[in-house]
Amino acid sequence: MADRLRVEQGEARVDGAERLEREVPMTPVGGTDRLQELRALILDPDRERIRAIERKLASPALHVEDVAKVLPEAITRRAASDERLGAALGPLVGDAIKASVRRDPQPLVDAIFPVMGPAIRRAISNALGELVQSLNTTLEHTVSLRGLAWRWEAMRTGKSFGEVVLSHSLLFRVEQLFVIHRESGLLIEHRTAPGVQALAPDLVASMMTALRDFARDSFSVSEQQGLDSLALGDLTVWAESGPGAILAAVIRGQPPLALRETMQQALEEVHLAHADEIERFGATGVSFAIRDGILERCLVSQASDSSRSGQWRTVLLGVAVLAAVGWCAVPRVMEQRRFDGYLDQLRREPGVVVGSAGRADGRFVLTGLRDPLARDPIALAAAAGIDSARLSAKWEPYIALRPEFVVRRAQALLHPSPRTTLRLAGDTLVPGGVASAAWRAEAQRFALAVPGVGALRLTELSDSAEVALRATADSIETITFDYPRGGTTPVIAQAERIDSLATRLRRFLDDAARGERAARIELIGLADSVGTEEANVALRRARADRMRSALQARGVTVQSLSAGVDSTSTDRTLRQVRLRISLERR
Amino acid sequence: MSVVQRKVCMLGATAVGKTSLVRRFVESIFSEKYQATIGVKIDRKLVTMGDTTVSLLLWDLQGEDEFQRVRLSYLRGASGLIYVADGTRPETLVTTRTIRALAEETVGAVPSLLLLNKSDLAESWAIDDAFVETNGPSGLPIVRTSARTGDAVEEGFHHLVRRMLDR
Repeated sequence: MADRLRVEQGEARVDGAERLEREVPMTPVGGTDRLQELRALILDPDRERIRAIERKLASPALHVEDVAKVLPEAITRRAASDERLGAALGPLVGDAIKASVRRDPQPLVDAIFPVMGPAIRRAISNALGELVQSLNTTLEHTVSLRGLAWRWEAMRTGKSFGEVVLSHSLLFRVEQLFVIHRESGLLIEHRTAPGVQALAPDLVASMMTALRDFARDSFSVSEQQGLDSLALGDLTVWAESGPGAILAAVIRGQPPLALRETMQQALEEVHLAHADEIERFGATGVSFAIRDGILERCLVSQASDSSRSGQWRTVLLGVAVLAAVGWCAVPRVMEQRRFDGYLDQLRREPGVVVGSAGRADGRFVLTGLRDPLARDPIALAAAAGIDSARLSAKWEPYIALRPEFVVRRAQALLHPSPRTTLRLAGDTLVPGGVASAAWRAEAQRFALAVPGVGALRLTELSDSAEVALRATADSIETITFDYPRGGTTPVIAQAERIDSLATRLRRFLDDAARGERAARIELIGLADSVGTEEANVALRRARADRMRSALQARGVTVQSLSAGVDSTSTDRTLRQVRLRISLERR
Repeated sequence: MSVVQRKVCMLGATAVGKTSLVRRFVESIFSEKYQATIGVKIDRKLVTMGDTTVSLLLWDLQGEDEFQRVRLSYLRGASGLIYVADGTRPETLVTTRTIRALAEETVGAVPSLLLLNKSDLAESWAIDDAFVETNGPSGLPIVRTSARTGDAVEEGFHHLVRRMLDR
């Protein structure tokens, strides 16, 4: 190195001499040598210095050495004066780390491993804590009255139940904040929420530190861990530890775990902004003011809902409960009412006797007696709107003695013709209308076999044969024969009518004989009022007698024929013979 | 006027009068029950020194005996230590010596003071200066105090504060 320097200096001398010769005007030789010598004596040291400076400027290697000497101090000074150095280096450091990780991640892994473990554990523990707290809160509020109200609110607003629970769970207030020197437990800073009276915060801070120390000692945990939470009734104390200071919050109510994160961030900022002051505080004990805006964000509160809205929700809840009760109860009440109506109807129903009625196993239960002729109770239940699946009924058969049932049973036994009616008077069966003699005989034989019939009365029942005879007789009675004035022979061409009449009368008389009836046919002569009464009487009789003879001649039984005059007739214009037929039982 | 805070721990054997010594001179919000439960009770003592007010946070540690060890973690961050011994019981001075060794392992050589209590009973004292020098914590300023009469207690605190501020 020394040789090299000497060589360099020699070269410098040569270069310097040449340049000086160029710059200085030439002089005579003898004087020149001396001058050269003098020049060299005077200028050589300066030339060497200039030469060294020039070489230094031209050589980057020498710069590096100089810069290296002053770099740490230069960085420290610049970083202390402003933040531009950090801003300038930030991206470079980032890129350098990225490049380093790309090349070989292991060194970085090794470097951050000691801090990664606790950080990850803490993050997981906090996340689990939040989850558990959220689950606890949800479970706690699911079955309570407040929980039901929140469920209703969730339904009303369309939010998820979790969101509603969360919004209501944030009811808390951070009342006091302590920034405590970690080592000594001395109070660095104390803040209170408006209106909060704090008692000797420096003593409280020390005592909190003592408690943390006590807990740590008692449970043999590491230095990094400590008492993070204290619960005192409605008050909770949360503490976050940093390397130099502890941030403790006294909270009234139920704080959300998100507040922890806020506290951690605030504590980190306290350390960033006041690292030096915290360190000095350990030695001096002189408090300093924490930069504005850091602690304020932790001094938060969540106001509870106004009582009015609470009342409103209570009213809504009440309405909802009533509606729910109504929703469940109204169908049941309606069903009960339908059943009661059905029961009333059954009690009025002929042939049905209700013994017992009630409910069992959610079904209506009925027992009683029922005449087989009564209406079907199942059909009646369906008509009353009762679900047959919800009705259990047991009916014992019996015979009802109500008149309508007795009559129906008589009808079933006696089979009367449609022209025959049946009714019950007391216990007497009274047939009416027309019936054959055979049916009469049948009725007389079997009527008393009908339950509820004690007697039979046939007086209101007409014999069908007699009725038929009478009808024939009435038909025959409409036949009349007209006579000329004063004559006893019917008007011309009446012979065929007389033949026809005789035929009908013979048949009628035969029918009557078969029906054990005696028929009497009276021929009545009529005359007009012309002439004397005496002559007219004779004329009327003559006309009747003559017709009787004509019919007798045609085979009509003589005994049943009689001739007469109708003295009751007031019509004095008719010249006729007409018939009057009477029937009698033999 | 500036205010500085300092943590000071009071140490000593059981029943040497630590608590009685400070009771009359400090501001306290905590009951003495704390000492029995967590082993320490914390009080505040304000000492004015020139234009500086020093707020001493006095950690009154539970007395050491054969059943109870001093919790050394309570000593962390202390700027001063006050050892208390009972002038009528020589063994308490020996205990103080033991405690001092432990305490200085934890907090180093911080300003300290030995209070020899019960000076009102000086006639029955079983120890003299030579005994103190031989058996007690050596090299400490000694203040003879009486918790009963209050003698020299204030002076003791002032003395310690002065030493702490001089550091």
